[in-house]
Amino acid sequence: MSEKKFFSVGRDTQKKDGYAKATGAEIFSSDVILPGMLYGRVLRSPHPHARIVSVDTSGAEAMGAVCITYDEVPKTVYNERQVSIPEKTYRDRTVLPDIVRHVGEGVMAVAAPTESLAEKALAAVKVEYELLPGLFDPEEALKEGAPALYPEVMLGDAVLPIKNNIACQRIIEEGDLAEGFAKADLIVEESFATGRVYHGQMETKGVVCKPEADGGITVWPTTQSIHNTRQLLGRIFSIPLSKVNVHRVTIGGAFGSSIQMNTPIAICVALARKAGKPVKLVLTREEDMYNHCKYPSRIKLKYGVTRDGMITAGQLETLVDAGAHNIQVYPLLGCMAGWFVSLYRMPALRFAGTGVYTNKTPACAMQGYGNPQVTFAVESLMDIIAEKLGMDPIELRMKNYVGMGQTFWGQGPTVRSIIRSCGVEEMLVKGREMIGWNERGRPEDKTGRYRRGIGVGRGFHTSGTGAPQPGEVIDYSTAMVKINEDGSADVSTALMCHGGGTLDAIAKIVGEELGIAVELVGVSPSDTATTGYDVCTHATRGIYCGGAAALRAATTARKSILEIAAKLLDVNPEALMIAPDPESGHGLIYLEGTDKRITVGEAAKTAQLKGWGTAIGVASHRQTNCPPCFVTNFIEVEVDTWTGEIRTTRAVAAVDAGTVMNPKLTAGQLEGGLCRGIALALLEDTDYDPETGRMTCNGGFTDYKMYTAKEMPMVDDLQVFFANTYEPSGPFGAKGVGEAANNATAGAVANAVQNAIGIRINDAPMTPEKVLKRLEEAGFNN
Amino acid sequence: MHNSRIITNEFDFCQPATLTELFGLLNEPGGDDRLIAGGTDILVMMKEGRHCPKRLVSTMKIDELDFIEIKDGVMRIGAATKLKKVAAACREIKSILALHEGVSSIGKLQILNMATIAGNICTASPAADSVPPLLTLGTTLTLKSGDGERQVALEDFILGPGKTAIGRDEIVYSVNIPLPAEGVGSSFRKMERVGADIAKINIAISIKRNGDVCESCKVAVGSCAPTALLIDEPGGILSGQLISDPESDLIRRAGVAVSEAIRPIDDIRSTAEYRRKVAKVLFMDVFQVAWDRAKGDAS
Amino acid sequence: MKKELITLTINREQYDVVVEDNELLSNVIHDTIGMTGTKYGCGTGECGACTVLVNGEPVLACITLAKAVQGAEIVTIEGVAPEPGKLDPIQEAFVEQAAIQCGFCTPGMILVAKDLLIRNPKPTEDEIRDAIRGNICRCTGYTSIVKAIQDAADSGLCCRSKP
Ligand SMILES: Cc1cc2nc3c(=O)[nH]c(=O)nc-3n(C[C@H](O)[C@H](O)[C@H](O)COP(=O)(O)OP(=O)(O)OC[C@H]3O[C@@H](n4cnc5c(N)ncnc54)[C@H](O)[C@@H]3O)c2cc1C
Ligand code: FES
Ligand code: FES
Repeated sequence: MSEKKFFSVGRDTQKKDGYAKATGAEIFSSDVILPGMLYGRVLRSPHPHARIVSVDTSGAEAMGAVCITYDEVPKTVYNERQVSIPEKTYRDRTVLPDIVRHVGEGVMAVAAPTESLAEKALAAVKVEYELLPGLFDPEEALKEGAPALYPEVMLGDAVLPIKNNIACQRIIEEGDLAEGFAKADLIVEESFATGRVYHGQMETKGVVCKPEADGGITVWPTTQSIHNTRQLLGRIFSIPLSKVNVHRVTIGGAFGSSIQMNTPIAICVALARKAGKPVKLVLTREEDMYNHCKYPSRIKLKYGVTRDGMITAGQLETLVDAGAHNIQVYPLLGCMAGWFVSLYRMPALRFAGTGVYTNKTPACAMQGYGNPQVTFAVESLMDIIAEKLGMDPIELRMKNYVGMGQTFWGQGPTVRSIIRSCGVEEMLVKGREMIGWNERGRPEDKTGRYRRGIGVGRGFHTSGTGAPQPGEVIDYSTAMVKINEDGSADVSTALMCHGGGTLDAIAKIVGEELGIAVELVGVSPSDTATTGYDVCTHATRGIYCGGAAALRAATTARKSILEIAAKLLDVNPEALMIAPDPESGHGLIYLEGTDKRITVGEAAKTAQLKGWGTAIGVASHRQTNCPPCFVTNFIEVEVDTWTGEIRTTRAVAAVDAGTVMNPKLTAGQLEGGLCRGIALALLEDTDYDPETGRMTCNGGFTDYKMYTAKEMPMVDDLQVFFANTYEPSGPFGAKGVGEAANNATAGAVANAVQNAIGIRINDAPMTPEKVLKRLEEAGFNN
Repeated sequence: MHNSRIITNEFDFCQPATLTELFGLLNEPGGDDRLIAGGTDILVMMKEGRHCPKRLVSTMKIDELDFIEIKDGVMRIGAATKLKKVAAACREIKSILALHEGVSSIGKLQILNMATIAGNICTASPAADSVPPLLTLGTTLTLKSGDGERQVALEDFILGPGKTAIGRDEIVYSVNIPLPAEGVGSSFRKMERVGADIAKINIAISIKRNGDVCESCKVAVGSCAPTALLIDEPGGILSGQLISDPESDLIRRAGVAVSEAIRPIDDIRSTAEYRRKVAKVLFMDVFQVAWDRAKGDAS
Repeated sequence: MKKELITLTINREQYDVVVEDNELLSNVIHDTIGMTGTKYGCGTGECGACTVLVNGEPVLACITLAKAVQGAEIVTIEGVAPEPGKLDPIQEAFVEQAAIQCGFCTPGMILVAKDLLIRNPKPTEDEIRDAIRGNICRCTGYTSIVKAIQDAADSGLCCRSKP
């Protein structure tokens, strides 16, 4: 449905950082080395809950190490995540704590000339703890008389007393629920759970901080938002923002793990300021795993439907085990409501969510921000309903999905917009063919030890969090585009690339608008001093929101170069066009039907020589929409009914991303999302030992397992396709992809398992141990 | 919380070039020595603070320890022979394919390039993947010290997790595998959470087949007791029996006997209950493969 | 602790470095020498991000003592490309297939692929997946990486150039 033929957008081009990454030349934050740099290390609590009575650093200091403790760091109470407006931001932590609330929480930190000296110094530090009772089960934490993690926290500038360890709550209702359920011929209710998954980004979180002579700081962190990092550091350390410069550094995978200003950053800044020297602090894998995780979920979901499959009402209740800090539970609950409401239409609905503190690793966003969890429940229940109604699951979905022209909630109730592009039906119809849906058979007809089944799952994610009015969540981007004197161009933005090709897409958008090849568009290195604000590269917003700002900046630059050319060619600027020369990729400005023409480079150079100035554009832009990027997964699994092992044998992953900017990279996003989604369904979780408060996997990859190449379907058995849509509000018709890629997967897997063995498993991960037990209960025999 | 990026423990690292030099070091009085081969177990444990030796003595520069030879029907593998070489050598000998499969399944390519057969045995992990096949083959070890050498049966050598019958100044010199006669088929299977993982449970079998009669059958299971276990019961049930169908009830009964003989526990990788349930299945799986392999012409 | 001057041969060049006995190859390469392509992902041998070639074979630098590889030929990702500005066919295939997202696993993957194709110029898909099973990629789901290695194999150019 492309409205226009593009020359740059939508073509596969070599990723701009491909060469550097393929040769090891790319510098990640863990690779930054500065002259005179010290290495920082953090002493981590071995206890899940304890008051720090005293810290004796004399041994470490005798070795020459620089030490910081709670007493020496600013006491600013902050929230790592800066995305909501202040009135909706819960704040409960300081740079270092006086009470540790989970194993692995930082107690104090040291810096020394080498990592091993720092480690030795750490070993010489003595800490006295007063042990406090630990809480590991969210239901227990809610009980009257349960020990309290916090007497109070801050909400905005107000003190908020905490009762029953409830971090926050949200109830959202629309329509008449009782009436809705009364109209139903069938009411179905089930409980679902997903695990406390770890991000597993390959680069552990890290940072290098250099204290500047003027009292400022320069920082090279792993982060998804340089500007939010800057703002928080400025506030915590009372430094004017003009003296806090945060660099964008390549990140070795994010998936939400650096969506907030991670705790090591503030600790490292405090160390560097005390040492008066640059300090590098890179977490070990164990520390990283104790730093953050995905929000686990416990969801109770209920739908009422009529006999012909129309939903009359829906209710979702959820208890979110936030862990030791409330990083972003409040917006999470709003989003979970949004995911629930925007998958299928409900005349009446109720959402009730509670976030509760426990003495575990704090949870934060991880690819989907509650979406894979909610969608797992919803897509599972859709199949349950279809089965009860004797209806094809695809037909039920077709009848009820929220699609074209309908209102959609985006990220929470304050972010509503109308859907203007929708490939849901196309993906269901085409995917059904590709996977061989009609041959999937019924579980009761399958025999033998190995049984295959096919399942479908739908999902979506919002492209950013933009909306017509300002809401609770901040969302806008800034970009600058300038045309260089040789006809090339630079684009400067604070967006991050997590690997999916965001910055390549930005370059394509700029090249498309300027009429020059993407190879001639440079993406400038960026830092907070030289870029305008960008909220964060999160929420699947990079291309749709960041790209829209870049497009606007490019449009201004284009206008300016056309005015210059018009002067030189003596024509009206509005009549001029630009197209790239197919050979050189340089932009050619021309007047159709005449021989009046000049290259972009000639125009820019002449303007420079004549002193007319640079063709440049700057835009700071908020999208007034956050269109859904729809996904559909069809998954075939094979269950070994003798061992309970489940293998993913085939998959079809489809996305409706509007205009696809980088086809191969987009396919890669879908494949990666599928891999992590299958792992959410079948493999990943972190368990805690209630005796010690430690993870039973001990925080390392030895026992936290992620999928290898062996578990994924073979190349020919994993097909990917893009719906043919065009999003009118997106840059050149584009929407997002990122998080959407894994949202539909877990549900599709559960449905495939059901189709294979006739057993419905609602609590992920569906480990062989769990599956075999269920098989036995169902009368299977090995 | 330990730091997996570095080794904090300080030690001297020695790389003797000959056995004589090695025993000279080990015999120094008052030493706190630990042998290191590929280092894939010991260095990880040292990072975790589970071992803090004062001195690490490497076997990897000693050419005398890197060999594979077959003499008088016995395959002798030098202690410091890398797993990759061991896997390749076993691939060529049909009757010990289980050993090929077990060794190839250890970790991954990089581990096979680094780690040694003696390291796998001496770590004495209940999950070590070379051990079940070696047990079914009646493997012995040659231990050497400055004073001489002795032979120990593998099942007498591994005593418990991390515990072996090795003396303070002794090393494993070679791993000796009596090569089975004609008509023996073997097979190995490992169940893991993902590829390149330590076993939840692993099993090896070696069957002597004569026509359709099972003459004898040796089974060993790993990761289901403090050490890998040689399990006699299937042999008792199947020896001398006519196997008309490798999926018959008889085989199932032998599998049940395996499940009953193991002593698994709950750990991070799986549960005792699960291990017990699938031991039978794994037995039936490896039986079938090994049975076919034992047929003579089949490879 | 005692420090010692040793010589390491990395990417066909000699590096004199002062190391302690307990220093790991990964840290000497990354921090002391400053070749940052050798990554730390886990430190326990699980992820493959620190893979380097020692005498042509992929090994894990995070569990290799620096002193143990004196005299060996070490190749890091920096030594794979034939000359500055040019890529090895495997590197090229990774770029072409978009098998690089965040790029943190890439050096290890490429080195393993390099070794694989030298040993086995026409690997099956199973053989490819088996070879890279010790290298975790959290981004791609592996499809593009497998395709890249297949492409490099199909090009027939890889097995010739030993790193
Ligand atoms: C990522 C990873 C994956 C792994 N996967 C597996 C797996 O799937 N299956 C499996 O079984 N193992 C696995 N292991 C464990 C390990 O790699 C193997 O046990 C390996 O064979 C150990 O050999 P090594 O040469 O590296 O031993 P080292 O670590 O060098 O030594 C191990 C022990 O043996 C002792 N030792 C070594 N040589 C001798 C000798 N000649 N005489 C006496 N004692 C000696 C050492 O003192 C030490 O106690 C894995 C390890 C890692 C890091
Ligand atoms: S860092 Fe060496 S394997 Fe992960
Ligand atoms: S590309 Fe990011 S880990 Fe592989």
